[in-house]
Amino acid sequence: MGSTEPLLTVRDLSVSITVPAGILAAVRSVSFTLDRGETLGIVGESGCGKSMMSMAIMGLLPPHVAVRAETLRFEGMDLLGLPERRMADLRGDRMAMIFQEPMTALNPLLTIGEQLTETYRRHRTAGRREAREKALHLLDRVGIASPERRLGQYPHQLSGGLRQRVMIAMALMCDPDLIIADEPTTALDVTIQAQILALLAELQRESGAAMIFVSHDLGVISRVADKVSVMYAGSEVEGGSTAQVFGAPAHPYTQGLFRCLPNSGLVARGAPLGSIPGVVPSLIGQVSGCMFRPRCALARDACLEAIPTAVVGDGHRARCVAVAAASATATAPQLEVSAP
Amino acid sequence: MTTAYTIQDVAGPSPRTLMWRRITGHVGLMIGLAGLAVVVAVALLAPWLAPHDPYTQDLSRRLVPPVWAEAGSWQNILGTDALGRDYLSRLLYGARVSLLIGFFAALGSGLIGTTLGLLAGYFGGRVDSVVTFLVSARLALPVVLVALAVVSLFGGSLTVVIVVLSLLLWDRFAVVVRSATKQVRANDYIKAARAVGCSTSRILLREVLPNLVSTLAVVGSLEVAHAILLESALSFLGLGVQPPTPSWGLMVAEGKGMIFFDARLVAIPGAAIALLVLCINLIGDGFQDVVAPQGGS
Amino acid sequence: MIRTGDPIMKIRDVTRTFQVSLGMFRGRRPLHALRGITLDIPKGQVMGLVGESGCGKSTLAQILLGLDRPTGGEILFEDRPIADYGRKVFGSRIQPIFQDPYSSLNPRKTVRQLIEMPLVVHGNRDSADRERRVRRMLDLMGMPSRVIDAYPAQMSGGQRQRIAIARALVTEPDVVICDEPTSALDVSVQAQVLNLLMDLRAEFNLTYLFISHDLGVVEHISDRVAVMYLGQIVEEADAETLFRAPAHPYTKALLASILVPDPHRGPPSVPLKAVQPDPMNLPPGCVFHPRCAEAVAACAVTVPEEVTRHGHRARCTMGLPAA
Repeated sequence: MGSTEPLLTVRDLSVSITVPAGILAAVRSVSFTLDRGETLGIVGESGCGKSMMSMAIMGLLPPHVAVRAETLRFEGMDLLGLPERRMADLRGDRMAMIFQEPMTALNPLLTIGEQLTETYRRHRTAGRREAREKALHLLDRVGIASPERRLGQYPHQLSGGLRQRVMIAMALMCDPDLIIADEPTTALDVTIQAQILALLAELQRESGAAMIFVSHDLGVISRVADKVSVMYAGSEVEGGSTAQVFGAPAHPYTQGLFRCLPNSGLVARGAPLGSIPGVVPSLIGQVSGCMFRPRCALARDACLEAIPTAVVGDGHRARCVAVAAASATATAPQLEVSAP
Repeated sequence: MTTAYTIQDVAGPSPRTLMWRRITGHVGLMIGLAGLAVVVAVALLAPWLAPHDPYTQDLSRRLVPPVWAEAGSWQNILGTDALGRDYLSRLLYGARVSLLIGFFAALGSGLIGTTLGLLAGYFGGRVDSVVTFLVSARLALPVVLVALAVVSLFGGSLTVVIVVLSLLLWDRFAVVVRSATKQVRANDYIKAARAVGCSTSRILLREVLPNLVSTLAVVGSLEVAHAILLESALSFLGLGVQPPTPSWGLMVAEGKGMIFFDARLVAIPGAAIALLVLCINLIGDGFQDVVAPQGGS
Repeated sequence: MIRTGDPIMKIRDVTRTFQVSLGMFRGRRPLHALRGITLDIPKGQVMGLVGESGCGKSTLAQILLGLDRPTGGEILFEDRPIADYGRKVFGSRIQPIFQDPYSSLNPRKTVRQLIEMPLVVHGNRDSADRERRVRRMLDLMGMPSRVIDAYPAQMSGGQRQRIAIARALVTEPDVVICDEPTSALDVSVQAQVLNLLMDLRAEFNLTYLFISHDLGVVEHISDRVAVMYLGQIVEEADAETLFRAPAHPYTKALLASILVPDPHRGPPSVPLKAVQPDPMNLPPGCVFHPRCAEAVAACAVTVPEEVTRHGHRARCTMGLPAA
């Protein structure tokens, strides 16, 4: 393995579930790579497959969910080929997950201390003392005052913000190389959200871990991610560096999302917000062409056929017929972004 | 209006259609319903189906064996009992008693239990404490002993048995309805109804109760089976329906003295009870399966 | 008759105290959910109400809807105490829209039954008239009238929220209490519902109390904004002033937490100390001082008075910034 191989390589990852009505394709051939120290933001609305994708990478989906990929490599290992036992060794050790609702992710019957040290001792042949030292250090590091006292407390004795800090400490216990954070701040108050985001960014910078940050909130993603993948109905519709995607969104769906935001600076206070007509299509069965077509103002006949990936900048790509046509004539549809 | 709103269509079949599909697709439930339908039809059509009068005794034709035995004849397909009454006719008429008692006892106990459960679940607090106490008190009573005592005091009749069973079998309704009501009450549509100025009785009947229908169907069918078994037990002990009324429990009791000579007298009504209860339990379990997935959505 | 802009609802020093059981044999302790709320809600305008979870904003909404009674103080609706109105009369003039469109619609009822329920409760016995009104509401909501016999389970979150709005407006109320009406919706659906709410406000001269934790949404839709902290209003001003020149350190922290999409900035640093507010155990002096970035020694001792200037009020020892 050369040192140039990315930490995580995902190529053509698909997740499908068999339901009574047919086959539900929740994720449709998504590809990306992730290096150490990098944060990938995955943004999309409910049902776009963003959570399914992170669960698939962690190997946390139940057996009846089919996960396929041309490549799913992490630290040179083929994750899809790994037996469940090896996968379980990786989880919590080399890759860790932070969930939206810490109350359901923490065991209500175990103290904070027991849960923190359990992870560590499961993966490291470490003594009780060493694990406890590490737990105290991390609780202190995630900004929890009097960590000694917190170790003996149960999850229900902590506030939502504190519980999320504990979750982060737990994820960091084994110094993972990859952190997957699925809507980690959605259940929190705004001030707490900002603090947790700052903490996550800082800890990641310190540890050099890679992070996949899943959120529905464009504002949150813009502040934490180095590169962004915008998902719609199971596919990536636009991807690129955060500056590219947020600076000049190319795909009609991404542009539509921005116009829906009340505080993006695109719409005056009190003026009607932009909206995306229609609803998310059914994910069941085969589809040809662009999933966004029924809601798209730029839809044309060509959208029914295979959708080209238009390259609109260095690493900035959009899966859209209209964008591909426009970039060929070098007049990409631009979204006016006025300064807020 | 300045903004154009998107016209969106509703998706999928209505919940009723879905429910109907789940019911008709459930094998156990369909078997149970078919079996019950047969028993109900028999009970309703007994006067036309029965070859003989179930009360007419013919002491010259006592203990005639059924048609499949050597000495049997088509005149009495299931033979006759110790008093020479046609066993098939008594069996057909006996279905009436079992069903009447089963349904009315479940209905009566359902009314009591649902009312108490609704009040406890909706109001909580002191009302809840009182109802919880009543349920505990009721659970402390041994059903069969109390039923025996009451029936022996007031004499056994259809009405007495129904009333006694109604007063004894409401606990499961109360417990289940109470917890279901608590769940429903937490929904914002209850707040919305209160904010409009709905009366409490209207909220209970129009907003809460319709959401309990599936739960009630499950508990109700299980209680019907429960009541039928208890009636048989009471009749067997001679404290239920009084002779000469044909009742399956009573027929077992009357046949028990002959069990070593003519097992048919016990086996036929016994099997009828078992099959009916099995069908009703299949319906109850089926309902449970059919309504379960809806709880999640 | 109250003119547009004059207060249609006056909340006067409202308090609400819950007795919280501490567990078996440990007795009860009071929890002061609302500690003297005074607020005028101007007719025909949108009053935004923000604050973190547990600050009492939902308790206030419950009281305004008549679902809960205040421990002290009074609420005037069109200058009469709300207790003077009959339950039904009041119910037809103040209506709620809730956060979760899955919980706010009875799954056993059709769209028609859901929307006409308030009419039936208020004694409208004319089914043809009710049907006409239901269809008109559906039309206003931008929904085709063929959904009239559909069940909530057949609809998306955004469609359900429109049905909930239709139910709230069918009695032609004056005031609508919107408790996080778009928090459960996706961004694109949220935009549609916000546009709808704004159009309806203009069309029917409605008054909204708009409760939300999303300051971006509140800034967009509100004419005035009140900020709550631990059961008190710590600042209130017209939206323009509050977002441009906030006076209270808590408001400043809230504004700093707004995450406008901006790839060139990282997560903001919020001027707040990491202390958990405990409504069961209020600190002395200013209740905000343990978290306040600008606190001075006096803040731990003196309870700040409310300072008002030109309709901008704040409850802080530092007072209002110089004009």
